Amino acid sequence: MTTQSDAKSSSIMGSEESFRLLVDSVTDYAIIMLDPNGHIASWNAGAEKIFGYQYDEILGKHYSCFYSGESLSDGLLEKKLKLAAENGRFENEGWNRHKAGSRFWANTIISSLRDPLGNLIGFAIIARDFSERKSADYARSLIEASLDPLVTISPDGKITDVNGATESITGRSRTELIGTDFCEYFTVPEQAREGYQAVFRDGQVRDYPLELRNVDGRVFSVLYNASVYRDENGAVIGVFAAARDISERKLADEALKRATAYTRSLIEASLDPLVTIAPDGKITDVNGATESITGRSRSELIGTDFSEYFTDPEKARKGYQQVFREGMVRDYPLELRRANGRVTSVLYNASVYRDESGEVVGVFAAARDITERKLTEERIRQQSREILDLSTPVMQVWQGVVAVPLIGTLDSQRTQQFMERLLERIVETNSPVALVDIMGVPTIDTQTAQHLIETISAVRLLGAQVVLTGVRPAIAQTLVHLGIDLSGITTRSSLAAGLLVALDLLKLQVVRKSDNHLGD
Amino acid sequence: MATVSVIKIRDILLVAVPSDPDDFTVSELQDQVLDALQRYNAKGLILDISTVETVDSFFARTISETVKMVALMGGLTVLSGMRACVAVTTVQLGLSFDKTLTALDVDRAMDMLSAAIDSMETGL
Amino acid sequence: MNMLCHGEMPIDTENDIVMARKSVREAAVSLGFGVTDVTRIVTAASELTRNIYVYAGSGIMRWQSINENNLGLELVFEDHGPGITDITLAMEPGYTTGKGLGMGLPGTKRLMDEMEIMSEIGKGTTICIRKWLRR
Repeated sequence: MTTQSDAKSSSIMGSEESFRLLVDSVTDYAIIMLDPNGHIASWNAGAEKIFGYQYDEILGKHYSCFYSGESLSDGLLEKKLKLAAENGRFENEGWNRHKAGSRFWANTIISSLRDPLGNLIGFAIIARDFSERKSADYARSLIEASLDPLVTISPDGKITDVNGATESITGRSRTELIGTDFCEYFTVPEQAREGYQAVFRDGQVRDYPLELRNVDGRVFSVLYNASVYRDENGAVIGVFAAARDISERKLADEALKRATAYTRSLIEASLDPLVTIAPDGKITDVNGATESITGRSRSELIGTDFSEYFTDPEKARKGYQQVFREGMVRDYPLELRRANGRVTSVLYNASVYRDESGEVVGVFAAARDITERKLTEERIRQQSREILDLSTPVMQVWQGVVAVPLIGTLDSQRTQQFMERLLERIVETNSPVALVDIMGVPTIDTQTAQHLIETISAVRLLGAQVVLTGVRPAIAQTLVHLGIDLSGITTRSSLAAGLLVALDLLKLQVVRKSDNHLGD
Repeated sequence: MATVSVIKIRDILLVAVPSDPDDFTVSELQDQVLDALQRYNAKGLILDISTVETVDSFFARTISETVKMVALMGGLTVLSGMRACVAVTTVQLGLSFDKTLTALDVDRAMDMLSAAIDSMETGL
Repeated sequence: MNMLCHGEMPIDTENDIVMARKSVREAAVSLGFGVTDVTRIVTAASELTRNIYVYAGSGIMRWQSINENNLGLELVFEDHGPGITDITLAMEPGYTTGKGLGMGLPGTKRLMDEMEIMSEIGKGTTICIRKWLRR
C-alpha cells in the first residue's frame, strides 16, 4: 500500500519544485493531499503543527484518523469525499482530532484533483485551526445567553464589559456602561466598592448582597459572585462579576417566611394536638398540644411510628391508611396513651396534604380530646340508667309475687328495659304472678299498649302471669277508644285489688286475726 | 347431633330439650315424644326448655305442632323454664305459643299437670 | 377496635344453621352485648340462614364488628337463590312462601336495629342486619 501511494504521490507531485517549497513553508494551514481512496499522499509543516503527526508516520494512513469517533459515523467521511469529487470542492467546519487525542475546531476545504483527461487522481485538503476563534465566540454567546447580569471590572473600578442581562437590569446600554464606575449603579456605592476590592484582594467573593438601581428608579436585590481573571502570564487584569437578581425570590421568600411563621403560630396556638404523618406512618411534625397530650417532646416524637402511641395501634394504622386511600377521615375515635400510661380518648379529623405538584406527601391529623366529653356522657348515661332503675323497681311483695309500678312516659327503649328487668326478676324470684301497676303512666298510646301486650305475652311464656293494676278511668277510656284488646289479661283498678288476685292465683287467702287473739 | 331422652315419671313424660338443637333434632323430638306418649299411655308432657338459648320460628312451629298433636292424643303439654331473654326475643319475633301452658320450672309444671290429670280422672 | 371480630361461613346444610348461630353468638358475646341482645341477634341469624337454606339452597353469611361512634355487629346474608318478588309484601307480618311461620323478615327486623334487603328476581338476595351496643 505504502509503496503504491508513494508511487502515486510522486506522480502527482512531479510538478514544480518551487511550488512544493511554498506549500511546505505554510505553517498556519494544513495542506494535505489524498489519493482517490482517502490515503494521505503528502503532508506539509502546517499539517504537522495542526494535527501533530510527523510526515513519516502519517504518510499512507487513511485520513479518518483526523476525526474523533462521533464524526466518523454514518459514512460521513465517504460522503465528504464523494461530494468533493462530484462538485470539485467541499467545505465545512467541525471538530477534528489532534494526534494527542484532543479535539479542535477546524475549517476544512476538500478539493478534488483531476488529470487533464478528467480522471480523479486525488484530493487536496486545506485545514485551519479555528479553536481560538471558536471558543471566544462560544464564550461570548454563553455570556450573552446568561440571564444573570455579568460584568467585568478593571482594577480601578471601571466597567470594561457587560452582557445583555446587565443592560436590562440597569436600564442602560453597553456603550453607556463601559468605562463608568461600577459602584455608581448601586444604592450604597461604598458597599459595591468594598465588594470588588475584596475580589481583587481575596481572588473571589460569594453571594455578596447589593442593591442595584435601575435608571427608572427601581431597586433590585442582587447577590454577586465574582472572581479575578488573569492574562496569559497570570497577572490579574480585572474582576469578572455575576449578579443574581433575587428581588422576586426575596419577596417570595419573605412572604413564605411570614406565611410559615403565621401558620406555625396558628398550629402552635391550637389546643388540639396536631400531627403530620408520612406515607410510611412516621410522624414528621407535631405541635405543642401533641407534646403535652402524649407527654413526649417534639424530638422524641418525630420519626417514630404514629400508631405506637395508641392503645390499639392496628386501628390507628387503619385510620391513617384510610386517609391516604380516601383523602380524609372525620371523627375517627382512638385512644391515646400518654407517657405516664394514662389513656385519653380522642377523635381524629385528618386529611392528606400535597406538595406543589399535587403529589400526596403526608397526612395532617388533628385530634380532639374527648375524655371530658366522654366522662360527661358516661355520667349522663349512668344517671339516666339509675333514674330508669329507680323508676321501675321490681319488688317481690310476697313469696311468688313481684310488683312493678310504672311511672312516667313509656318510650320504646324504656319499655324494652322494663320488660327485660321484669322477666329476669320473675325468673330469679320464681314468681308465677307479676303485678304491673300503670297508675303513674300519664298517657297511653297504641305504641305503649303494644309494648305492654308484648311484656304480658313474654311473661306468660315464662310460665307466669301479669295482673295489670292501676287502670285509671282515663286510661281505660283511651284503651277502648284505641281498640286495644286486653280481654285476655286480668286487670284491676288498684294495686291492692291486684294483690288479692295474685294471692288467689297462688291459692292463698288473707284471713283477719280473730278478736280474742287481740284480747289476750 | 344432640339426642333427646324422654323420661317417664308416673304418667307424665319429661323431655329436656338440648340447648342448641339442629332442625333434625327438633323434628326427631316430635316423633320420639309422640311414640313415647302412645307406648306409656302418658297423660301429660313437660317440655323443659330451660337450657334452650335460641327459639326461632322453626323451633316454635315444631313445638306448637307437637303440643297440638299431643292434645289430639288426649295429652296435656306444659312448656317449662323458658329463659327471660328467650321470652323477650320470641315475643318480638312475633311467635306466641298460643294456648300452650307454661310454667316457670319443672316442679311447677309437675304440679300443674298432676292437678289437671287428677281433675280429668275425677271428672271421668 | 374497628375489626374486633369478623368472619364468614357458607350455608349449605341444615347443620350450618347451628354453626351460624354458634359463630354469631360468639361474636356478639365478644363485643359485649347483653344476654337479651345476644339472643335477639342469634335468633335473627337463625331465621336468615334458614331462609337461605330453605329458599336458595346455599349461600354465605358474613359477620363483622362495626364502629361508628358506637360499637355494633353487622351480619350479611347472601344467596343466589330465586330472589324476593315483592320486598314490601315480604315485610308484611304473616307473609310466607315456605315452611316458616311467616314471621321471618318482619320479625327479624324487629329484633335488630337496622335491616336492609337487596333482592333481584332470579339473581339472589342480600340481607344486611345491624345491632348497636346499647350503653
